[in-house]
Amino acid sequence: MSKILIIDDEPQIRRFLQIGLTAQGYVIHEAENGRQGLAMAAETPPDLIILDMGLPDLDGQVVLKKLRDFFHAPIIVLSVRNRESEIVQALDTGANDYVVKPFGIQELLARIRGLIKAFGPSVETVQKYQDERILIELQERKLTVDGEVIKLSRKEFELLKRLINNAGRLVTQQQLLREIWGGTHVEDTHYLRIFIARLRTKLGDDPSNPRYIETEPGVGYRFLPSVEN
Amino acid sequence: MSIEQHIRKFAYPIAILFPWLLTPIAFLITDYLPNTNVQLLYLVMVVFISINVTVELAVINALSSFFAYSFFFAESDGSILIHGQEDVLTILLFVFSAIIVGYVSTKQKRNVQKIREREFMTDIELELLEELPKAQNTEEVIAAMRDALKPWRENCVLITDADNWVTHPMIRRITNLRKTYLEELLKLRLTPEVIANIPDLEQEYDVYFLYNSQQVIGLLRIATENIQYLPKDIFLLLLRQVNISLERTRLAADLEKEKTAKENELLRSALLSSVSHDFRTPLTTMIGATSTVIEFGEHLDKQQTRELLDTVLEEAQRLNRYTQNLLDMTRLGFGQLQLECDWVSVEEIMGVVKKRLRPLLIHNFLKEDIDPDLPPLYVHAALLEQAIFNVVDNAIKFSPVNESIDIHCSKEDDRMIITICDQGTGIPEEERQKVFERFHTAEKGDRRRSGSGLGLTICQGMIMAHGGSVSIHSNPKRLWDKTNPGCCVRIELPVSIAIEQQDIGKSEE
Repeated sequence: MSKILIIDDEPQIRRFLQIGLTAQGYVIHEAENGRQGLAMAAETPPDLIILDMGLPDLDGQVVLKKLRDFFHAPIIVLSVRNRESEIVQALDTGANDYVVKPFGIQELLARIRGLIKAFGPSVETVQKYQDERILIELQERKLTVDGEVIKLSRKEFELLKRLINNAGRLVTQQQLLREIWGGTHVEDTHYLRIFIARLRTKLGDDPSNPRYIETEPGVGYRFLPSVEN
Repeated sequence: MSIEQHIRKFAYPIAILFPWLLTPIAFLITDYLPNTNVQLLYLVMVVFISINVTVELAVINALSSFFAYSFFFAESDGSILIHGQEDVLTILLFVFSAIIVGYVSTKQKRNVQKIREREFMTDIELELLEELPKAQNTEEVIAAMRDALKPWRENCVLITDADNWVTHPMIRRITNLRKTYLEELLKLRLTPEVIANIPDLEQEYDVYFLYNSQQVIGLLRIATENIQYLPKDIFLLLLRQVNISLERTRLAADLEKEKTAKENELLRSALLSSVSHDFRTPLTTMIGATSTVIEFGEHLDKQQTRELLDTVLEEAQRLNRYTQNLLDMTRLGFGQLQLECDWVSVEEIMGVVKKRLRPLLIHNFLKEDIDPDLPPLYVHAALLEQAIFNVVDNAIKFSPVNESIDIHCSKEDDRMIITICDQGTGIPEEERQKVFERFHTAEKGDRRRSGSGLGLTICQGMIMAHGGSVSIHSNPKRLWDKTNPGCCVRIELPVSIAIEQQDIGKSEE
């Protein structure tokens, strides 16, 4: 029974989340401002926190930072549209994913499910991904598309590995650049774009109809899990 | 030094010596023509000299000529003295001739000079008269005036409110008026009585006023004592022209202000009516549907309940889009649109747009044609997505059922071209500019399926913020159809050169 802490000052939002998420089997705790949220997270650590960035007492970024001092399970932030810089900053500070208000419950649920699974006790790094067209074997560093083996360069492989290990979840540009190219290249998003484009070509993925790799412009990328999920 | 200046330096000596130097010629002539009236020869020379020199020098020359003649040709040779009464007459005649010719000649020259000066003045006035109508505002009128005054810039100064008194040496130099007096004059509020009084003020303070019917714009001080030629009548005419222009620009500025105020008023009322309608409509549906479910929940079957709730969700999402449009519109209007650009490919943009359009593409479908190998765009992705979304949203509203909406992306020279074409009712040529205006809708009244009228305005605003352009054209594939000619919206965006190609070698392996 996974525990979720909701930190949001809007009672109606807390209410509908409580109803929806409880129906899915989660246990819900609620906090209506930043300080209360921090206290509750410290007292009874949940398995996931949903944090609204527009809190009355503390700035959402501040709460996020303080949370990350002691809380290491996933955090999803709720943000307002057209605040991309806020979202990117939150992801940098340690949030795992985001949802833009107004949102439907399905979107949020998908994110929650993916994150809880990834951070759950039975987590193992993905070794293999397979569907009717492609087969990715991370151990052997092998990619097979429609029966044909395709060679991946080292960086292309690193990129694919990180996306697959976080299947369904957002991986930020900064994280990818930092881990694959190094801390000094965090601004070189054009490197990333070119490599993602190469990966897409090799996977046979059309960027305007993405089946495998989805772009969130300005933020990062997501490897889309297979349709059964 | 020019020849003229050389001669001027030696004017006196030349005047005196010239007749003596001419004498050998006189001798030559008398050798061939013994009965020549030598006096006339000398007279001709006197006249010739008088035309070209001052009266004073002419007289000196005349006297010198007489003595030369007397010395060489008079009865008792070798003497320059006056001998008989004929000599007195001769000398008087020489001198009179010199005076008359000299005087007439000088007067003539002065007249010519005056005419030239007036011509010069008129040229300046003509130039100013050409420039004045082009002036769009008060500053330009004053600038034109300053230009016109350039030939006299050493001796005149034009003072306006904008001038910095302390550092303006000219003002201090040629105005003996205290700064405070001038400041007061500049601040005069003009009424018809004060205006009637201006000539007196000008006399009193020895300045010329530049003014319109409301206020004094500038003061002109000319040190006329230092300027030799200033035909006052032409000058005053000039000033009057400037003042007329100042009044014209004031009226134009007032008109502009009124126009803007009126536009703002119209916009405000359009906004109020739009918000009032476009919020109320979805809210009405939502409140209606939910209250129905609440009241009659038990009597409705699952499908009906589901239908009503679907409607509530749909309307709520519509309201969300409208709110977003309003926000975008307001930000655009206040110039608060801050572009956070990044490299993104057209395909990625289209991917996001299609995802967002999915719930709206019930009766229509998208046909996509993106050229291969298009360069990436350096844009604010969310804005470009919104722009394209708005255009397709519009196209859906006017497309007949089961028809496609065609999107084509290509590159022409250094521009990226995105065209969105529909098979709908089309936009007549007269309307093609108007559709970009705020709150322009194709239909009025409650049946306004055309929406809030902000979509294309926002699209244009966002594209223009990127240095691009949006235009409407006929659908070339449907020119034969008069009922549903369709239309194409053409978005052009500048393509920046991606510098990544050479870098990428370094980042390999």
